[in-house]
Amino acid sequence: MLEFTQNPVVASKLTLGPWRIDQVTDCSLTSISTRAQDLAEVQNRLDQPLPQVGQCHGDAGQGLFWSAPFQWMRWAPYVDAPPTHDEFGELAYVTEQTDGWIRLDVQGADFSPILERLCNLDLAGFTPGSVQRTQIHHIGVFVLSLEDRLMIWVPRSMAHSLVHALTQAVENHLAQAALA
Amino acid sequence: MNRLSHVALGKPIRFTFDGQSMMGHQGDTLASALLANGVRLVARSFKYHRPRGVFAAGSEEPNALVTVMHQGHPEPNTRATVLELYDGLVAKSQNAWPSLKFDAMAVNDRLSEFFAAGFYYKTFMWPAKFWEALYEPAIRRAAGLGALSTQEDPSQYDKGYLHCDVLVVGGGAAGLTAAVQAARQGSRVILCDEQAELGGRLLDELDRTWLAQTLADLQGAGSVRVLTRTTVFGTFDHGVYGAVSRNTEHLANAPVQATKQTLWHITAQRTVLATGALERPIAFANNDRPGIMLAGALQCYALRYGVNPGQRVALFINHQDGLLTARALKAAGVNLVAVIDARTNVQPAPDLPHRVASRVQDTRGRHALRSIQVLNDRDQSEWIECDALGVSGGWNPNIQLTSHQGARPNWSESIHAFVAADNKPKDQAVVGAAAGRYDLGQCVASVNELLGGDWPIPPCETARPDDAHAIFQVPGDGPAFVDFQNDVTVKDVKLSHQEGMISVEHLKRYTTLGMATDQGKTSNIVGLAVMAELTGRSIQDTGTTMFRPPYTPVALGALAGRSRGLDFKPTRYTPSHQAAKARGAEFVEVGNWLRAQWFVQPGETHWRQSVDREAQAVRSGVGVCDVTTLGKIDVQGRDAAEFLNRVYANGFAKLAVGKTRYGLMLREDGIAMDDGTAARLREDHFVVTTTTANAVPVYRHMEFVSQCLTPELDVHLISTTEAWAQFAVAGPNSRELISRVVDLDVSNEAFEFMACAETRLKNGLRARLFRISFSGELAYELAVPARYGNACFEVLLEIGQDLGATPYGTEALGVLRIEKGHAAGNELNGTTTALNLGLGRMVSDLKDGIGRVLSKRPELIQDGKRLVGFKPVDPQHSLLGGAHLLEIGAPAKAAHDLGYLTSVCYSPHVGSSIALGYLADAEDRQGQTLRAVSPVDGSDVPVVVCSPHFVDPKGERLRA
Amino acid sequence: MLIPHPLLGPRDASEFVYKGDAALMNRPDGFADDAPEAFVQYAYQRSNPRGAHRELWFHEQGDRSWLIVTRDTLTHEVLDCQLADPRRAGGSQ
Repeated sequence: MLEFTQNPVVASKLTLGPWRIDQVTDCSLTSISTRAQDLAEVQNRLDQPLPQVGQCHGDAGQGLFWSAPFQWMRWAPYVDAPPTHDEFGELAYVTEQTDGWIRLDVQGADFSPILERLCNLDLAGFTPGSVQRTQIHHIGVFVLSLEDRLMIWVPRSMAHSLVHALTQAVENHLAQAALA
Repeated sequence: MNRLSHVALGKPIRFTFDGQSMMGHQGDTLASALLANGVRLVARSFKYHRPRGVFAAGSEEPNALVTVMHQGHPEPNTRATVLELYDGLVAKSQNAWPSLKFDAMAVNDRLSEFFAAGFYYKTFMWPAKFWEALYEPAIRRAAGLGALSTQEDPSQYDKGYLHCDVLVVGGGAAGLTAAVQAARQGSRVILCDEQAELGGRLLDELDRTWLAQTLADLQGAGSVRVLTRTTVFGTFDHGVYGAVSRNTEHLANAPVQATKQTLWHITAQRTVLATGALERPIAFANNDRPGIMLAGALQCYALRYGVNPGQRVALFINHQDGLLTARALKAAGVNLVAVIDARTNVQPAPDLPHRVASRVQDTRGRHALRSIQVLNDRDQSEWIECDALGVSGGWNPNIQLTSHQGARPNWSESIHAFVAADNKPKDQAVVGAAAGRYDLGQCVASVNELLGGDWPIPPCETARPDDAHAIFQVPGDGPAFVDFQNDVTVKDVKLSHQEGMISVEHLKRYTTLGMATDQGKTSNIVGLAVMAELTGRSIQDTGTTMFRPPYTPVALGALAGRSRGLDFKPTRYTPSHQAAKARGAEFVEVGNWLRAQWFVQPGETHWRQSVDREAQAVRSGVGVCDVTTLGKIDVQGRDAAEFLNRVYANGFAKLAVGKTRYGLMLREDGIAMDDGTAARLREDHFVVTTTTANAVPVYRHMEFVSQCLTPELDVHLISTTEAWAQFAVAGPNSRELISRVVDLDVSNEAFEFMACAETRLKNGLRARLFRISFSGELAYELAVPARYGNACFEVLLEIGQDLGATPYGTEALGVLRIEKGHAAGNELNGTTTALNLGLGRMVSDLKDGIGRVLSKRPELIQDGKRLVGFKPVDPQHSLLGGAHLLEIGAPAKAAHDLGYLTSVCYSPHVGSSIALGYLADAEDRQGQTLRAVSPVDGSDVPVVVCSPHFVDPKGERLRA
Repeated sequence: MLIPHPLLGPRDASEFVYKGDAALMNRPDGFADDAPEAFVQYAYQRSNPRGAHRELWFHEQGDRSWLIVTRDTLTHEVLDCQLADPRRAGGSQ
């Protein structure tokens, strides 16, 4: 009776020039919000260190990024279960963010020539392990630099517009490069 | 063809000007190619339609504005001096009819007495009705230079963001030196130059040894990003600069995707302005004829582009640099017949036809210069045959970028020019000619001083600005032009003085001097110097007007970038968008969202058919509506309930777990801000909803309260609007439908009105269920993870088919809530209070909620209006939102205004138009007949005052 | 214009929303005897200085912190910038 298929993806192994953009659906996202005085205990209960301001760590499967003072986002493989309040009790508050965002992984060549067309990030300082919240064509996104990929989290409802922006920027860049 | 032999010309290319086909060379600008083809007359001036020719060689050009066809699309007001020639270029002159040579409007020149400065303040006034019918249309036709295309610009424009340690503006001698030195010191450098080639004025010299060496150093310097064809057009706060790169305007056939221009937002830690200096002319009678140019421009055309400017060339100068130009021209093979030097303290140079203590007083030649009148030291005059005259009254450091933030330049008596003010932006340093350090050696020295480098000072001829003889005008008969583009003469400056407009700010606006697209680059100084002479003040005391971005015109397309058409803003799709579309939804823009407005079924041709059907389907069976767009905010923390007590007017501390409550939010001034619900999922966990439009402002407000007003409360906020696909399931059959889908006991006993729960669907998917109703029917809102939005929508409709399950959109949603008298955005319009809404008792006095104190202001209470319902007396009449309520017979004036209609719709359940609105003395007027009057459409409809609850007034369906 | 966020460094003003005078942080006691007058003062009276101005900015496109920015209204120079909520100082430690 209740055959629930997922909404179509916005980008599936989208090849744009030397880059590949992939929507990763097997992924959950949870926000963790705590207070300075409970930080140490929260850290104990987590199996990995909480990143500093503007930092992130992780890989394709799981990781953490800083999003606001004493607030982090954690990504992990998808589970069909809400985050449990028991994980941290009163020490921290968790909120399911999974379907609020779509995750787009960008792999391939250095994406800087495209990023500089799209957002006001100071790319010189944006080395692996960095995360920034920024705007791409008026869409607020998180951009993470990891060792082997760039990870972009975009609000679900605006994902189409974001992929359009990325696609156009790549088109423009490649067309301009061809002029030289 | 007028070419000099020393320049190796690029490959020949063909172009068209005013329909005539001509040959030029790769590397030409349109201006240099026209001059090479002997084309002197290229434009007609703005007001007087005087014949004009090319005046300068760079972006400061005031005269040679043409319309160029860029990929079939006309671009007006393009300066021929910066337009790079390409094969097949098509350009035409502007502001002349029927042709450049025989311009009918040249009659204006004869009538120039009537068109003096400020003439439009004194004419076209009478009779008043002639203004709209005759004067304005005529002026519009006559005014302006180029004509706008009415077609959409087919080009694409892009934007970009760059960061650097050092931004170097200008790639001439000083700029190149600074870029290399800064890079070698380890800085990330961006170097911008408005030209296609680096080198600035070094490109106008025969000897390019130093330039070649320095360009090689630049190549090897590493961390320098060079942006040529890029103008830094504006200085903004804190080291942020705007720049425009021209990507394809020099190419015949570039693909549209390569983007015509890129607008750069550059954030620089420090900025070195190496923007050079612009030459200023001298004002004398008829100084605007085709063939009269800036002396440096003559040098540029001759030495850089290999164009012989004329058969008999003269110069009118006042400083040593003029002699360097003379010698350079002579060395290039130009026939120099006279060097007219205003200086009185120098001896005639033996190698040149040098006349000292002399001035040019007048010229002859209608469509091209033929002769000049020269005065000697005893004021004896002589006419000399001459077809090209280079004029130079000195050099003005190009300091516009230092003034954009409000610093007013200072006059330097030693170099007779304005230099950057001391209070220019702190991140800026000025070097080279822009700092009054004019020659190559001085350029390098100034950079050494700034960056601590020790580059060798190259030997060069020194132009000593201190030996200049200050001369800005030569008295005589005939118009002496100061601002070429706006046709402002010395006489206009005198008129301005006569009328009392003696401050430079008044002079500018009264005469329009400096207000054309060249922002007075070749005219400002001469104009204010003339005013200084008239008022007897020094130039220092006279001062100068300031400058504003953009340095040169920037296309609106570049400022828009990608934000055009559908890309103007992001589109937000609801989780059930595709499923809705498949079911015939027509969508409406709600902010950035697309929401289904109604669903068109086969056979329906008018939206009312769909909407009436949907509203009736909800009240008779069950309807499904995507309400994901309403804001959802997660509020967690030990003090979550107390926090909600602060932000809402009503109380939440005692709301039980598993229950939802309607909440009204006030602004601090007592005005209703937003309404929604708060559901208590756990002791310390609420989910707050807001209206769609206020999702962002309410979240912002809540963070303000938490961080700025109540930091002592432990509360954590995060938005979850996007995470959950939420559907309203409403109607008498909604319980049955929900029970088929959700794995929860939803009987009235187990799940009462306003209950909420975290739960699962029967297929195991996690979900949330809220028993709340906007329609007034028995209703629920079901939330599932957004990735299942389409599926959930479809399944509800399929499983509920036998129950009459019908998708409904925002229109029917609106009809239903208006029928029930529920307030929405129209009622919370920023001027209404809880009292107006009939919710006065919701404002709790037991706690200090935001807005409580000021909501009790007598002015807000005296208003007395209440939200009630209205029906037309004649059911055939339609009502109009915004119509004002008046008593029968009362004049339609504000003094008799009793209120206004806020929400209007056709109600299929009532069988007529219905409305909600605010009415004074509403209780006393129940059943009364009033009029709904709208001056907007002239309607005046009798209405009867009734309860706002048109359907199920006792609210029995809700709690079923 | 750049705002020197205490945790994130200089950020473009376009990432922020401006609210107004930082005096908005001093909300009067709603139950005090002089509450009506105090609230009128709080809601409507502003000093509008020519020079240093303490004001509130919300980093909406960033970390959602409210910042107290001291800015010279003539020159736009930012003289000081602090987190409005002292609990957020530190950011991650």
